Amino acid sequence: MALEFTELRVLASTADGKGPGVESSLLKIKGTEIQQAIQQMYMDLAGYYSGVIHGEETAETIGHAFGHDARQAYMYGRAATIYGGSNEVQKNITAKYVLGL
Amino acid sequence: MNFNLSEEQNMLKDSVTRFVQDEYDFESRRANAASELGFNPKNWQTFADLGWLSIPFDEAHGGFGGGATDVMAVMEEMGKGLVVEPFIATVLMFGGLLNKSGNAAVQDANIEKVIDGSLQGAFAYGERQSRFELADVKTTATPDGDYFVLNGEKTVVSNGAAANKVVVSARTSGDQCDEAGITLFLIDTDAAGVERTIYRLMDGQLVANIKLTDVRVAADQVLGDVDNGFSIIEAVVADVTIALCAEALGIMQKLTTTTIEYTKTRQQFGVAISSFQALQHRMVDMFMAGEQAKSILYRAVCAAESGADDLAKNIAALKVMIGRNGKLIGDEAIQLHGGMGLTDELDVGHYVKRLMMINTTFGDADYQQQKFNRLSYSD
Repeated sequence: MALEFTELRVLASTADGKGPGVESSLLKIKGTEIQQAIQQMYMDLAGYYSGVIHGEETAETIGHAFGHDARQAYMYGRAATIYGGSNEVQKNITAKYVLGL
Repeated sequence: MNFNLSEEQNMLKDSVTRFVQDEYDFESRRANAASELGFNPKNWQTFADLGWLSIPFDEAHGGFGGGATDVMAVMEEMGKGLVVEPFIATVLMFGGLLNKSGNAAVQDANIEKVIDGSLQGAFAYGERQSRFELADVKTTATPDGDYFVLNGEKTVVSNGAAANKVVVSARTSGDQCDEAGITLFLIDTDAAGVERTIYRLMDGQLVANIKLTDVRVAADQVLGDVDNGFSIIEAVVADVTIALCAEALGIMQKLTTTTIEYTKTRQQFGVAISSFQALQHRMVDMFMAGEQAKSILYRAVCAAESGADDLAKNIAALKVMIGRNGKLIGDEAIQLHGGMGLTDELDVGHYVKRLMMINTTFGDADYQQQKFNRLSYSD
């Protein structure tokens, strides 16, 4: 909810003709953290199915596809806090340009 | 208190450390996991020759007569090597069930074969609907003269691909989730009516769903008493949980040292990233999480060795901390390795995946926390 309105603030600022401002680092950090939290929840829900790699089997023979899908999303999702300027770099940017440290 | 291992235990631990150093580089491990059985039979024979397969069995059956401390010493080192050979499934789980079965004929017929390496075993407890509830059993066993007839399906059975024999939990009376009315049966995986679907988990192990259709099992292949198998399951799962957590501790230590080493070599902004205070603090957090995990593991092992009344509570607390601290360490290891942590070439991701699988085995941290609450605060 806060993320949604941060996004809207950035969009509003862009629409006013100003470039996306300092909020974009914040968006990157919170957006990827929330994404990873949701992917973690999927893994938790999948329980011991969360490790399943379907291979040539199907959801029917194994039980369900949820675990396989949750695992894939979770693993790809690990990269989100690293690419596009890692979240540590985003914090450096925020510290320097926003907080003036 | 004295937390040192005995001379004998140190020798045992050193023999596993040496095996991992000499025989278990990352490429060998990868080849072992990718093979048909999901592990290397040559290594299994080495385990037999070194006496590791005899650890939990009593001396009357040719065993080492080891306890929780011996198992911990071995498992911590296996964790560091990310060993895929099914020591837990065959020796601790399957072997543990045999040990506690009270069925002398079954013990005499099988323990020796586990020890010499010729028999692979597994425990089939989970079902599609059961999640972490060991007592949620829909598979049925109906008496028929001197036999029982089993019908149902067991899922995600560890070592299910290689197992020659499997212990199956089945319902002989009671409702779906009742602890009473569960019976343990020893079946051959090549028996008529047994159908296996084999697939892989992300930690590399091969597991199976085992479908049972009118499988006839002789009544003398029952482990424990009819309707009273659950107390055996609980006791063996308790032992194996400690072993899994010791393996996890080995993995957590390995991930922490690997991450520290990596940050000393990785250059950014003209310096090693290990010089950044923000990252130093996070590696201190990783280190502390590992040390805490070690302490609570020792606590559970002491409780097991002394037969403490609150053993179940100690094990639940252990599993919670291994799950939570393991996640912290795994997440930080990947993040601090940057993009490299996710690649198949680097071992970091493989260690993290195994940690995640240990978390879900026998109940994740959330489940175990609920169990701890129940054991602590409800009468």
